Amino acid sequence: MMPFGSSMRTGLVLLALLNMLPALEPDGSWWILVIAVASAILSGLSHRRVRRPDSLRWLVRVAVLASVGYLLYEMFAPQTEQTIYILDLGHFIIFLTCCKFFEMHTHRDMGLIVLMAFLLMIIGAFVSASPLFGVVLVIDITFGLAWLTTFQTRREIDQLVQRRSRELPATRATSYHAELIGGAPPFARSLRATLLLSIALVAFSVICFVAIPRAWGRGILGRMNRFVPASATGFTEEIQLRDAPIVQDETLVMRVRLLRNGKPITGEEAAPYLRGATFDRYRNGRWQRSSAGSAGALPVRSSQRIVPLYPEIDPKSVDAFTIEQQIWLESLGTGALFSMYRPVAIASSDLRRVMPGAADATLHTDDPPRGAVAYQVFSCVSEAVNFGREVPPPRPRTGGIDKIVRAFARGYFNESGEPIGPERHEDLATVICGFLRSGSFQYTLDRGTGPRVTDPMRDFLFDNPRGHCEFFASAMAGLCMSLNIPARVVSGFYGGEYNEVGGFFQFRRKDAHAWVEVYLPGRGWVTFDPSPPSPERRVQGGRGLGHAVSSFVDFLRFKWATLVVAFDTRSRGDLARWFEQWVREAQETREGTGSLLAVLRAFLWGPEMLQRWERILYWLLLVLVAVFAVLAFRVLWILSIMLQEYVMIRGKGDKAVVRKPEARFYDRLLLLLSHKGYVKPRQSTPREFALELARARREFADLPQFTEWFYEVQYGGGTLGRQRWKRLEDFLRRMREDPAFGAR
Amino acid sequence: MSRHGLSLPFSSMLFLFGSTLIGLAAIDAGINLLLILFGLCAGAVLLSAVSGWRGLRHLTVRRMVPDSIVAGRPFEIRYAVRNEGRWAPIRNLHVLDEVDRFSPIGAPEGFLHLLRPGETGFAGVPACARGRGRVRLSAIRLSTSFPFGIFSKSVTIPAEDELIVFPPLARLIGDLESCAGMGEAPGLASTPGRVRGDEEYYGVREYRAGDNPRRIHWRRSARTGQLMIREMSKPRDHQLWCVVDTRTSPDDAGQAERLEQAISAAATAICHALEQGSKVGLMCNGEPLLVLPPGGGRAHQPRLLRELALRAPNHVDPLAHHVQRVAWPARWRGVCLIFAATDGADLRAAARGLSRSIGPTTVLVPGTSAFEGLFAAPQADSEEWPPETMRGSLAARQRPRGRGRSP
Repeated sequence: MMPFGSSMRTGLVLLALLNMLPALEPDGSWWILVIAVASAILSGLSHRRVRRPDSLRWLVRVAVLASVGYLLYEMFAPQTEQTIYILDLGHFIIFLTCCKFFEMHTHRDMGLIVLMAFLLMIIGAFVSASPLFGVVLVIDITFGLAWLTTFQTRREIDQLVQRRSRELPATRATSYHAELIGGAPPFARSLRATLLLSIALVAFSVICFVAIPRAWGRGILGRMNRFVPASATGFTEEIQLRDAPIVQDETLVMRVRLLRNGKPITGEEAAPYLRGATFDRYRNGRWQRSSAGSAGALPVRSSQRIVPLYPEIDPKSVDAFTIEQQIWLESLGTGALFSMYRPVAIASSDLRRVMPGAADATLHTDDPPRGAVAYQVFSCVSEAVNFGREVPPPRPRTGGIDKIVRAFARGYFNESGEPIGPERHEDLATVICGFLRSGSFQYTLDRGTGPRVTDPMRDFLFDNPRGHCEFFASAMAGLCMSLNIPARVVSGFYGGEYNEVGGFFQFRRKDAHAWVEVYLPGRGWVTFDPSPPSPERRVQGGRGLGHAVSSFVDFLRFKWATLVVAFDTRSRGDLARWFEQWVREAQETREGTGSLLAVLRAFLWGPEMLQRWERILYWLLLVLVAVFAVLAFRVLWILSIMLQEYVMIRGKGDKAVVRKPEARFYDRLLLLLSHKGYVKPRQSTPREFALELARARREFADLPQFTEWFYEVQYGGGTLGRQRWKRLEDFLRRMREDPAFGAR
Repeated sequence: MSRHGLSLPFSSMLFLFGSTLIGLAAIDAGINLLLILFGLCAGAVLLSAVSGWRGLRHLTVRRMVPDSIVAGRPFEIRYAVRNEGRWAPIRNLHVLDEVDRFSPIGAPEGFLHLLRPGETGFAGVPACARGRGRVRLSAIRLSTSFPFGIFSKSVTIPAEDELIVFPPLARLIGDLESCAGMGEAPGLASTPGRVRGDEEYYGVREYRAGDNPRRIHWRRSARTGQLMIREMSKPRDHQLWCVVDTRTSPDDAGQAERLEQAISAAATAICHALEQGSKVGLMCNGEPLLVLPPGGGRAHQPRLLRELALRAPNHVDPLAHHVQRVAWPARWRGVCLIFAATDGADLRAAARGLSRSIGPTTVLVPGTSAFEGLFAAPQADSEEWPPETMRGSLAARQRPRGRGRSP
C-alpha cells in the first residue's frame, strides 16, 4: 500500500531540502545543495515513470557507497582546509538523504528522511549562527508541523487498514482505506489546527531557552562548535584572525565630544582614533598583548577632580598641548576605557580606579560599573611630546610570524638585503602601508571561505587577499616586525558620525576598527592605517529598496547573533535585572502608584522606552508566556490526576498469592502457557481461562480437568495422587518440548 | 468504570532518549540553538503526553452491530462517538473494541479524524468473521496519539455485548430432497414438481449467497437494514431432522476441519428446508446434549443456527448412546440427515437407531461422494457488502447496543 501521495512526497522532499540549508551555509558548500535539488527532481520524475526498477536500485546503492567514500575522503584525506568532522557528517547525511529520495516507498523510508532532516537541524545548531537557522526553524514548526501531523494521520490509517485487511477481502480493505483517507481534512485546515501547537512549542522553547542556566558543563561537546561563522562588529580585547563573516552592528557604543582649548573639534577637522587595546605578539592567528607595563591601579574617586595619570605631569600644564575628550560610554563590558593617544589625565564621577598602561598608553579599569559611564580624558596633541616617558620598545617578537611572510618582507621591501637602520623605519612603514592600500587587497567583512590550516596572515597576503581591518592591520604589523621595525596592532574605534547639533562624535559597534602603530625613533608610536576605505561604509549612504532590505537583513543577523546565539549567563542576569528594574519603575512612576490596575496597565503596555518593533515582540512574548502558563497549569493538573489514578491502581494491587506446594504446578502451567502466547487475563478465573483454551484448541482439552485439580489442592485441602502427577508431568513436558503444542 | 492509560512505544522511548541527549549536549556545550531544539523536543513530549488526555474523559460511545453475522460474509460495526467536552476537540481518535483472544473476528478498529466539542462522529468498521462462534465484546477503547505520536492516551469504557457468528452456508449443488428421501418418508405428503414460471409469492426472507439477485426486495431491504429477497416457493409439510455428531479425535486436525464442514452443511440444509416450508429439528451430542424438536417459521431458523454456531467439538461423548436414550415421539417422525466429521461404528449404530426412531436416515460425512454431491464450499464473497447504495440505510437501522459513558 502506497503510504502517501505526490503532495505528501513533495512536502517531505521540500522539508528535507530546507533543513539542509543551516548545515550547508557555514562552509558555503552550495554545490551539495545543487546535487540535492537535482536528486529531488530526478527522484520525482523516476517515481512517476517507473516503479522500483532494478537499475534505479543499483544506482542508489552505488550512490550510498560513493557517499561513504566521500565521507572518508573528507575526514582523512590531506586537505588545505581544516577538517571539521561535524560538517563532514552533515555532508554525508545530506548525500544519504539524496539517496533516500529515490527510495520513498514505505512509512519507514519517510520516517528515515524526517529523522535525517532533524539530524541536519542538530548539525545546523552546532555549526550555524545565522538567522537562516531561525527561518528554517519557523518553517519547520509551522508548515513542517502541519505536514508531520498529516503524515501521522495517514500512517495511522494505513496501519489500521493493514491490520483490518487480514480478515477483510482485498477490495473491501482498499475501499475502507480510501474512505478513511477521504475523510482527512485538507492541508490548509491542518495548518490552522497546528498553529496552536506551534505557539505552544515556541512557548516551551523560549522558556527552556531562558530558564536553563548556562555554563554548567565542561564543554566536551562544545569542541564540535568550532565554526561559528558569523559575528558582529564591535570592540574586543582580543584579535583572532578567523574566516568568519562579520555583520554590521548598529548598536550605539559611546558619544565623544572633543575639545581643544575649550573649542569643539568637528568632524571635518578630524577623524578620531580612539584606542582601546594594543597587541604586539602574534601566534597562530591570534594577537596577544605581551605586557602592558601597568603602573598599578590609580584611584580616581567619585569627584570631578582631574587626576594625572603620571605623577611627574603637572595637571595645570596639560591644557596647553592636549585634547580634552568627554566620553559617555553606554556600557563597560570589558573594562577598556577609550581615549586618543596619549592620555595624560582623567576625571570621572563613575569610575573608582583606572590602570594606565605604561608601555602602550591604554586605559583600563578593574572595577567596571554596570550601566553607562562618563569620564574625561586629556591626551597629548603631538606624539613628540612624551613627557620624558618615551621608552624604546624591545626588539619585535617575530617567532609566531610565518617564515614565508618574513621571507617575503625581507625580499620584497628590502631587496638589497642591507641591515635596516632606524632612519628607514618611517619610509618602510609608509611603503608597506601603501602596498596594502594599493588595491591588490580587497576590504570585505566576509572572506567567504572556511577555516584553513595555513596561517591566516599568510593566507591573506598570498592566497586570499580579502579581509577586514584586522587582516590589514595584522599584515602590516607582521611585515614591519619581520623587518625588525617595532609595530603593534591597536583595536578601538575610528571615525564615527559627527553630530553637528550636539557637537559630538557618535560611535557605534560597527565603527570598531584595528590599525597599526609603528615606533619611530624621536617621534614615538605613530599611527598607520593600512585598511582601504571600506565598501560597507560606502553602502551605508545608499538609498532604495535594496539598501533597506540589506539593512534589515543585517539588522536581523545582528539581533540573532546577539540575542539568541550569544545569549549567556550574563545576558540572563541582565534580562532579569532589566525586568526587575522595569517592574520597580512601573510601580513607582506610573499613574496611580500602588494600585493593582496601574501595575497591570503598565505590565500590559510594557516599558515606555521600547521601540515599536520591540513592543510587538514584547506583546508576543506576553502571549507566549500566557500560553505557557496555561499549558503548565494544564500539565500539572493532568499529571496530578494521572498520579492519583496510578496510586489508586497500585493501591488495589494484587495481594501476594500464597500457593500451596502441591498447587504450584499451576504456576508452571501458566508460565508455559504464557510462553505459548496464552496469557491469563487478570479478570478471568482459572476455570474460565481453562474452558476458553479448551474450546479453542483441542490440545488443551485436559486443561479444565487440571484446573479442577488445582482448585481441589489449593482451596479444597486435597492432594494430587500419583496418577494425576504423572498425567500432569506428561502434559507439562509435552507443552515444554513440543514447539507446535497448543497451535492445533 | 472507565480506565485511563498512557503508553509509550519503543520508538517514542528512542525519541525521549535522543531529546535527552540533545539537552545534555546543549547544556554541556552551551550552544543556544541546540537548546532551542531541545526546548522544541521537550515541548513536543509534554504536549503529546497531555494533549487529548483530558478530552478523552468527555467521550461517550455507542456500538451498533448487525442482527445476524454469518462467517465469511463481510459486515459492518458502527460506533457513534460523542464529544461531550466544551473546549477541546479530539483528533485522530481510534475506536478499538476489545474481543476475546479466540474470537472468530479480529478486534474491530475504527478511526475518526476530528471530533469537535458537542459533535457526534460515526466510525464504521468493516469486519468479516473467520469462523462460527461467540464474540464477546467487553469494552471499547478510545485512544489517540495526536500530536506527534509520542504518547498514546486511551480510555477504556466498559460496553459488554455478545455477537453470534453463524456457520458459513455452503452452496447446495445437489437435490437434498431426493438424497434425504423426503418423498418416501412415511406420513409425509409428496412434493409436487416445480415447473419454471409456476412459482407463487410466498414471503420475504433474508438474502443468502447463491440467491437470485433479481428477487431482492429492495424496499424491504432498505427498511430492515439487510438484504431481503422474495420467496417464491410453496410451503410443504415435511419434517427434517439434522443430527450433528460433534465427536472428533483430539489428535487429528483434519477431523476438526471436517466437523466445521459438516456443521456448515447442516446449517445449509436447515436453511434450505425451512425455506421450503419444512419443519426442522436438530440434535447434537456433546456437552450439553441438544435436542430441538422440529419446528418451522422465521424465528426457528436463528435458534437452530445459533446452536450450531456455539456447538464445540467433543472428544468423548458418543452419539449412539444419546440416540438410544432419547424418547422419540411419533409426531417427530420424518427424514433424518446425520452430519459427522468421520464415519465409524458409533455413527452407524446411531444411524440405525435413528432410522428406527425417526425414519429414512442419510449419513453425510465430508469427503464422501454423498456429501460432495450435495454441498460445495461457499464462493469467496468478493463483492462489496453491504452495497454502496445501502450503507446509509444500514447505518440508520443498525441495532444500537453497548452504550458506554465515561464517568
